[in-house]
Amino acid sequence: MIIDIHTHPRWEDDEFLKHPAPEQADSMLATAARHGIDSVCLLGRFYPYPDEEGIRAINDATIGMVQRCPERVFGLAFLNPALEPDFLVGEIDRCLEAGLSGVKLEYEVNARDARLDLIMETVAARDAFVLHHSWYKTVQKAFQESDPSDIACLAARHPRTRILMAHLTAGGMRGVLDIQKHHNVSIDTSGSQPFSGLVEYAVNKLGSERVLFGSDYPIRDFASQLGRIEGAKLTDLERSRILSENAARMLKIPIPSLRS
Amino acid sequence: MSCKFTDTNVSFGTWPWMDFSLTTPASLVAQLESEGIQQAWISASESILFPDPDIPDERLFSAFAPHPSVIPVKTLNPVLGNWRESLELAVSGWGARLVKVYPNYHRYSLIDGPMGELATTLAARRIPLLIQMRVEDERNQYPLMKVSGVPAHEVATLAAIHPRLSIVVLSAYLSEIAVMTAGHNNVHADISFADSRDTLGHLLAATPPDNLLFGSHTPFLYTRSAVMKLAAGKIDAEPRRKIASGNAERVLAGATKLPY
Repeated sequence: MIIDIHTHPRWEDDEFLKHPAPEQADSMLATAARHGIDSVCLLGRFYPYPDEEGIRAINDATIGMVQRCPERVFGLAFLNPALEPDFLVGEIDRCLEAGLSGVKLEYEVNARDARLDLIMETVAARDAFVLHHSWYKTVQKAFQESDPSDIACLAARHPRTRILMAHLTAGGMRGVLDIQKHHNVSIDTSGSQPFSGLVEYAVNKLGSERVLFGSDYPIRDFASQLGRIEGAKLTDLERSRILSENAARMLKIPIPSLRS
Repeated sequence: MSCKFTDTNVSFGTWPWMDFSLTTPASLVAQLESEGIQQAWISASESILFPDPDIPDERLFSAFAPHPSVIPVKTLNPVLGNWRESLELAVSGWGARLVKVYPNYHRYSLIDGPMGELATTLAARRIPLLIQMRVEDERNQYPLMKVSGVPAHEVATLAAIHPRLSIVVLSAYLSEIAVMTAGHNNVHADISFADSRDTLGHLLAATPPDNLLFGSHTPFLYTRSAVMKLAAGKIDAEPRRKIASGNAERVLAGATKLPY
């Protein structure tokens, strides 16, 4: 059983996006299955600074794919924290009621910004989780883009909210150390090329319970991203946690039912 | 997949920002063999930053002499005043069959200055030129050491100026590979940094299979990622075999068929 916690619809393919959501879900699951991946979690078709209409469209597409195969396709509500608070809370509730599992935040607003607080409190109250983009960038950094120290600040402000920090490779060792003491933060293995040693380092510093497999498909190849887990020096238990059990816990899926 | 690989992109040594676990020639060779790699082209990572590449290179050639599966690669910096003597020493004294350059770390252009004479010399002696496009994701570099990738258009220009020079580009991105191989049969590219949904499909849409090589960029990247990327690609057995090892054998054979 392999769950990929960090995927997107095929946003780079305009022709593909003309297909109805169920067909997109079927195609994505077939591709994932070819790589031995059983389930995927969709973070939405991201584009920068969407307005309310854009947010609803992104999330409607994710909901459509989740509802096609709710046993194998999971999804998060994409939000822009710069939008009105009433809209944000309403959108969280609409998406969770429709079957999504949490919230995805990108770089519209930095994680230190107080505008995230209402989102974090609402998510905690609904016992969902937030997956937050993060990257220590030397170049190409977006305005307001969060790095792992920003995520650590967010985690300290909201210790009751479960946070999944994206992009292990992008945060590197420093990023792992930033979140080490914040036990409400886990990390996904996506980001950049599969640079060696970081999966083992994260397991050593955080424990294998806090590391989740993520590919960032379709930006990345399922195969190369799985390779960093399969090629890492891990025990079978650590690998099993990273590839499935931790994601199942995050998504609140009973693992035995997944294995059936 | 039962393919045997020739890995055209392997380093040995240390790198200031990474903790390589493969610290002896035997451990590196064993790791590569465990992944099905029957031959590896290995260069010295210290030669990237060390002022005189001959020093780490001599250690490299000596250390891997007992390992017939390894083709040690000579790093040349044509900005150095002794590069001609360095090349002669490596070829005549150490038996070097491949030369690698790092134009971005050693700070020169591929299309003017000393590169012209080096390219002419290598073409005349039928020695393939390996160009390392990058060793890291530029976004993740140490802030005080920002090193851009080698410009792909310069490689394309070099290939056009020197059509008899066999050029191997390593760690290029997908889009760069398309630029460099278009119309240039003398350019081969490894797959280590190409990473996208259906990597092999995207590569083969722009580049003939005869111009692609297996490369893992071990130990910077997990070896398994490149192995799985090639294994998962939806391509026929013959082009897969060519990419895995056949093309590399052809490139290397070209280096030795004609007398110097």
